[in-house]
Amino acid sequence: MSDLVKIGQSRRNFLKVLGVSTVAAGCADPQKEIISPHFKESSNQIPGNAVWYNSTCGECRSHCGITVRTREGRAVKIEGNPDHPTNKGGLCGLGQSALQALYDPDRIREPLLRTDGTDSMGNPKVIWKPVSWKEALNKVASAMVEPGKKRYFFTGETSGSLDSLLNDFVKSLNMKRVTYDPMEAVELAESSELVYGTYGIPRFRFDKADLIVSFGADFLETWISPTEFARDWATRRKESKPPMHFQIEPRLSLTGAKADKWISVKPGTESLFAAAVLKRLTHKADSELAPKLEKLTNKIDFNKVAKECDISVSHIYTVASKLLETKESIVVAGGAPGRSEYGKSLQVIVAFINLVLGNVGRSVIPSSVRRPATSLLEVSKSIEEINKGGVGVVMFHGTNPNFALPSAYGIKLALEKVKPGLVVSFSSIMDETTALADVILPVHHSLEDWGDSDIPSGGRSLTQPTMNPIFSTKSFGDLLIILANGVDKKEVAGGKETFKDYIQARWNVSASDWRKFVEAGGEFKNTDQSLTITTDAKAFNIKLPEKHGDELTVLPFFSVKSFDGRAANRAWLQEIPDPLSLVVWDSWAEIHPLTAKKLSLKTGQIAKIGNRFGELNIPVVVTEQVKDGVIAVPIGQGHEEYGRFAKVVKGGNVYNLLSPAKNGSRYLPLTNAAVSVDLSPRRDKFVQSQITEDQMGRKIAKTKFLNPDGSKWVNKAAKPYHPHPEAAQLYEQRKHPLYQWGMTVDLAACTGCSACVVACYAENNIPVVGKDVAYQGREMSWISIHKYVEGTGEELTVSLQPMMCQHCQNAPCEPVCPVYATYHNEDGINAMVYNRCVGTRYCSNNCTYKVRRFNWFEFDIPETYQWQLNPDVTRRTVGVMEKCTFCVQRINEAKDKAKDEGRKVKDGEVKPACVQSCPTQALTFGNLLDKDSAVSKSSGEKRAYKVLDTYINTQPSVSYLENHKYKV
Amino acid sequence: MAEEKKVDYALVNRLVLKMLEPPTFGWYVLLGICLLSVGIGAFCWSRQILYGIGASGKSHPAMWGFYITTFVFWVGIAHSGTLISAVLYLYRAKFRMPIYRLAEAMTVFAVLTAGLFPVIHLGRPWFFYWLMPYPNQMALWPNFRSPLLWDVFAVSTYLTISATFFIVGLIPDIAVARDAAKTKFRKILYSICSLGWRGSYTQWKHYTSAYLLFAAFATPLVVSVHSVVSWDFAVSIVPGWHATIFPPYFVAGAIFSGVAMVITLIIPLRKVYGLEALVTEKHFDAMSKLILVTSGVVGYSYLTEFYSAWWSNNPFERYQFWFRPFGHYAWAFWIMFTCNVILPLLLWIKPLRTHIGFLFVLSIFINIGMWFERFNIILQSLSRDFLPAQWGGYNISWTDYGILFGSFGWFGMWMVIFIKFFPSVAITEIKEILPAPKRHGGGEDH
Repeated sequence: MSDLVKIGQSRRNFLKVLGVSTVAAGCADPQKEIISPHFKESSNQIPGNAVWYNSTCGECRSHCGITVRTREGRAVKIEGNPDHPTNKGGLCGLGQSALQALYDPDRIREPLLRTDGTDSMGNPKVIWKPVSWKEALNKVASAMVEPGKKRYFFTGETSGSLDSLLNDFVKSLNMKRVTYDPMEAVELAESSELVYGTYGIPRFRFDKADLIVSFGADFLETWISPTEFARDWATRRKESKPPMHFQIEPRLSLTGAKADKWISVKPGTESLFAAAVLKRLTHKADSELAPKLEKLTNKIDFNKVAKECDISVSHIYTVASKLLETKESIVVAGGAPGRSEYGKSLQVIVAFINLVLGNVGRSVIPSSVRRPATSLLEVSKSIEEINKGGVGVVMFHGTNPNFALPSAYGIKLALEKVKPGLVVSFSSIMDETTALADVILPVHHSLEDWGDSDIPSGGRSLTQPTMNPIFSTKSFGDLLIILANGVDKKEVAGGKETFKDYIQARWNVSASDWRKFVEAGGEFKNTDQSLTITTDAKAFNIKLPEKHGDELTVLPFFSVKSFDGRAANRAWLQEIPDPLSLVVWDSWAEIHPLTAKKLSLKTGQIAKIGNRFGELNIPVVVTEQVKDGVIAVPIGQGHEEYGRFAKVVKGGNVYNLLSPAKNGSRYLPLTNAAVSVDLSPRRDKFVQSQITEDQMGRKIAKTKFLNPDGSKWVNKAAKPYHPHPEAAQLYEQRKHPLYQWGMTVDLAACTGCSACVVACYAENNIPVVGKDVAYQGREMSWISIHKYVEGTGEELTVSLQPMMCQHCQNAPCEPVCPVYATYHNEDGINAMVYNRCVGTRYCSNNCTYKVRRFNWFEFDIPETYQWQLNPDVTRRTVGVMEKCTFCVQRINEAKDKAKDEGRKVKDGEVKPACVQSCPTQALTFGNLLDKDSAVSKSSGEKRAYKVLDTYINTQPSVSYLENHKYKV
Repeated sequence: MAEEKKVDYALVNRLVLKMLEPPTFGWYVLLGICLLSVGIGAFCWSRQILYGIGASGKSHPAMWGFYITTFVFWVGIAHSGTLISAVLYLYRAKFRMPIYRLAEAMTVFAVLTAGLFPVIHLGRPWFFYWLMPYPNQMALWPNFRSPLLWDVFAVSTYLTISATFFIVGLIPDIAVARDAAKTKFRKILYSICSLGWRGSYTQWKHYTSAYLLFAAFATPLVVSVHSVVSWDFAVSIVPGWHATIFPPYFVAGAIFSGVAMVITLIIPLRKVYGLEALVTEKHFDAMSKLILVTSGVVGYSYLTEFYSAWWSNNPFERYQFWFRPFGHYAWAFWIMFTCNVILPLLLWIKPLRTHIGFLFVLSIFINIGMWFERFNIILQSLSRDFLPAQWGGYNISWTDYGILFGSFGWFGMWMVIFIKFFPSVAITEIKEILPAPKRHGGGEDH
C-alpha cells in the first residue's frame, strides 16, 4: 500500500509543480516511475520467483479475469483467474496472446506527429516525427478548445470507469462521442429491449439447458462471452446424456462442429427458420401473447420457408418438436451469419421463442450490465458531418473504422477534410485509422494500465498494471484527465489527477477493501436482478426476408484466429492453424465443392472475389462445411497497416465487399453481398496444417453416436485392424516411486479453440517460424489440434483432437536415440535433454504420434517479443529435437515446494499450461498412481481410450475420452 | 584367361603398370570435375551447418531423406567389393581376379563416402563424436539399444577390415610398381607401401595365410554390415520399415548395386587403358549373371513386402503399400521398380550379357534404381504413417542435390587418384592363373 500512496503522491506533486494551465504534466517520463502494484500476499519479489497479479483481460468485451505471471518485472504469461465468475480459470487464445500486443515489435513507442515528406524517389510520403509528450499534448489541447468547431470522439465499446470518464469528457468539451465495435451485438440488446423491456445483452446460461438451438451464434468461439459459454456448455456436454444441440448456419463454425445437428440454411434466412419454429410454439404462449405471435407468424408457410432456407422441411419440425418436448432449453442467435439485414428480426423472434418456452429468467436472463453503444447510424451521420467541414478535432480510441467499415463509408476521404482541424489517435499500434491521424498519442496496453468493468453476473472486475510501461506511453484514462485538466475542465475527473484515483473514488470502498479487490482482481458477487418483462408493441412489427436471389454471396465470419482483425498482428495466432480450414498465415475463402466445380477452382488456388465495392484475392479452401453458393471469408485479415505479422496476409479486407447498412441499422449487415468469383492472377504460397482430414477408419479420434433419446449407445461400424490382445510384456514394467504423471483429453468437451496451443507457445518459448517455414511443414507447435472429418454434407462429423506427446510408458522414441537425449524419468515422463541431442531425428521417425518437433533453423524472435520468454524454460538451439514435456518446469516447481513442506504434490496443484488455459476444462492432469486423482478417475471412465495403444502397445500416459454426439 | 593365349606375365605387368604412367590431360580434367563437385558439396554442407539442417529438404514428418538414402546407397555399393574379393576368393571363383582390386577400392572409397553421411545428416554435426563410447566428462555412455549406434560400429568395423584387406592385397603389386617406378617420388611412395616386399617364399607363405585370414574375417561382414544398416529401419515401428525381410533384402540389394557399380567403373577403365585382354567378355557374363540373381532376390523382396502388407490385414501397412505405387511419390516407386526389376530381365538374353554398351547403360540404371529403392523406403514410409493428420512430405532443396552430387565427386576423386597411383588390376593374382613362363621357350598349358 505504501508503494501506491507514494506513487500517487509523486504524481500529484509533480502536477502541482508544473501547474494545471499547462499540459506539460504529460511529459513525465513513465520509465522513471516505479509502479509496484499489489500482488498476491503469498508472493514476494524475489529474483527468480514469479509474481502473479490478478487483473482483467482487455481483449474483448467479455472481460474475463486473468492472472498475469511476471518475472523480474515483466509479464511472461497470462492465465485465466480461477476465482473470476466469468471464465473461472480458462482463457481463450486471444486473451493469452495479449502478451504479443503488449510486446508487439511494431508498437508505437512515443508520441508521433504527422509531417509530409518525400521518399527517395521524390514522391510524397508521410513521415512520422517523434515529439515530446508536452508538444503533442499541447497541440491536441489547443485543437480541443478551438471555438465554433465540431468535435468528434470515435471510441470502441467501453465499460466501467472509463466509460463514465469518457462520457463526462465529451460532454464537458462539447464533443460528440461515436461508438463503434463491429463485434458488439447491438441487435441483440435492441431486441432484448423490445421483447423483454431491458436494453442490454442478456446473460446466457448454457449450463441450464437440456437443448441448445443456435442460429449462427458461435458461442464457443467469438460470440458475446465465449470463454464463459464454452465452460458452461462443456459442463453439460461431458455428461453421458448431453444436451442436444442444433446449429443453424450457412457455414459450419467450430460451434457447429460440436453440435449434434448442423442445419445449413441460406445466409439471411435464419429469421424465416426461426419464425417457422415460433409458429409451431405459439400455442405454448400465454393467452395474451399467443394471438399476437400467431398474427406475427400467420404468413409463414413451412414449405416455402424450407424452400427459401434451402433445407428439408422436416428440420423445422424436428427443431420445433425438440423445443416443445424439452423442458429447459436455450435459443440463441447472432454471430456473423445472424447479422444479416434481418438480424434484428431474428433476434426478436428468438427472444419470443425463449419467452414462450419459459427460458427467460433461467437460461436467458435479461440484463442491463452490458449496454452496447455501438451505432453505425451515428458513425455514418458523423462522417457526413465531418465531410461538411468546420471540424476542430476528431479523436479515435479503441476503434478502427477505416478497416472495419466498407470503404463505401468514405471515412478516409472525410478525415482528409478535417484540416486545419486535427485528427488524433490514442493507439498503441499503427492501424488503418491511426495512419490517417495528425497526432498519435500512444497509450498503455491493458496490462500496463488501470481500469475496471462491470461483470454481467454481478460485481466489478478490476484491471491493474502488471508491469512498468515498456515504452513512453500513457494511460488513456490519464490522458483524458490530463487533457481535461489542461483545458480547465477539472470537473471531468472530479478533481482527480490520475485515472487510478478516479477509479478508486468511483468504487468508493474502504482502503482495505480496495486492496482486497485489487488482489482478487475485482469485486465478485452475485446480484439477482428483479425480472419484469414488458414487451414493446413494436416487437410484433418486424420484417422478414422476402425472396432471395441465387447469386453467389460472400459470408464474412469472425474466427478464433483473428476475431474482427484485432488479433491480426499476433504471430502466435497467425501461426496456429485455423481449426476448421487448417489455414496458416493467410486469409481464405471457403467454397462448397459444387460451387468450386462451377467456378473451376481448387483448394490452394487464389480466387478473385469482387463486386462493385471492392475485390479480394485470397486462396480457396474447397469444403463441404459451407453452403453451396456461399463464399465464407474470415473477417480481420488483409490489413494494410497494423504491423509486420498482419501485413504478411495479403489479398484484401473482406469488409470492402460489403454494402453500407440501410434503414438506420446500428450494425453492419454481414451477409448477402453478391460477388463474382474468378481465378486471380496473384500467386502466393498457401499453407494448411494437414494434407488430409480422413482418418481412414483408424479410430484415432473416436466418436460414439447416441440415440436421440439417449437410451443406449449405437456403435459405429469400424474397420477391423489387428488389436494386440492383452499386451504381453517381455520385460519388467517401469516402476514409478511417487508420481506417474498422466493426462486425459475429453474430446466431447474440446472445441478446438486452440487456447491450449497459445498457452503452450507462451509457456514453453516455442518459436514462431513464419509463413515460408510453415510452408515447408516445419512449424514448432508442441500441441496441435487435429481435425478429422467423416461423412458428407450436413451429416458430417468433425473430430477435433488435441495431439501432444503421449508420454508413452513403452515409448518408441527412447530406445532409438543413440545418445540418451530422450529417456524415461522416474515420474513417467518421456523427458528430453536438449543439450545431449545431436539431432539424428530417429526419435521423431519412430514416434507413432509424430509429435516431436525439430529445430531446423535458429529461429529468430523479434526484439520486443523476446521480453515475453519464460525464464524457466530453455530456448532450444538449432539442430535439436523438442516436444511436449508436460510443462516439467511446473511439475518440478510443485515438487520442490511439496518437498520443502514434507508432503506429496496434491491433486490439481500442478497444471501444465494447456490444461490451465482450457476454457472447457477438457484437459485433466495429475498423478496416475493416486487412485483418487481427477486424472485417474477420468482415465478410468467408460469413454476413455488411448490412441493406437491396442495396436502398437506404446502405453501412452494420455487417455482420450470419446466424443459423443446424437444421431439426429 | 585360357583362351587369351597372348596374355603372359610380361603383358600383365605392362598393361597394369601402364596405368600408372604420368597423368594425361584427360586425367586432370576428370580429377578437376571431381574436385569441383566435392567443392559444391562442401559449399552446400557448410551452408547447411551455418543455417541448420533446414537448408536440406527434410521436414516434419519426413525427418530422414536424401542423406540417409545416400548413406545406405554408398554402404550398399561398398558391399560387392568385399563379396568379390573375400567371398569369391574363398570360393576360388576365378572370374573375380581381374575385377576384385577395383571392387575393393570401390568398397573402401564407398565406405569413406557413406561414412560422411550420418555426420552430414546430424542436426549438430559438431557433436558427432558423442556417438562413440569414450570416457567423457559428461559421464554418459551411448545407448547401445539404438540401431544408429550399431551402425557406428558396423560401418567403422567395415571400414577398418576392408581397408586392411585392401592394403594387404596391394603389397605384392606395389612391389611390382616399385620395381618399375621411374620417378623418385613414386619410388619412395611404393617402397614405403610395399613394406619391404621381396617376393620370397616365406613372405608369400605368410602373405597367403594372412590374406586367407582377412578374407575369412571380411566374409561375415558382407552379411552383417548391411543387415545392421537395414535394422535402422526394421527395428523401428514405422509401417513400411518394420519388416523381418529387411536384412536379406538389403544384403541382396547391396550386392546388386555393388556389382552394377563395378561394371560402371570397369567399362571405361577397360576402354581407356586397353585392358580388354585382362577383363574379358567372360567376366562380364559372370557379373551379368550375378546381377540377374540379385535382381531376382530384390524383386522377390519387393513383392513379398506387398504380400505381407496385404496378409497382415494391418491398415497402416496396407495403406503404406498402396501408397508406394499409387500415391504422391509413385514416380519414385516406378523408377525403382523399372530399373531394378524390369530392366535387368533383359539379361536373360545371352548376347546382352556381354554387350559392353548395354551393360554400361544398364548398370547406371541399376544404380539409379537402387538409390530410389532407399528413397522409397525412407521417404514414402515416413510421409504416411500412423496419424493422417501428421502426414507430410519432403521439400527437396538444392542443398540435397548439391551434397548428393558432391558425394559422387568425393568417391570419384579417390577412385581417380587411386587408379593413377596404385595398380587397379591385381597383377599377382592374375599371374596365379596364368601359365608360368618357361625359361626355355615354348609353353605348356597345364
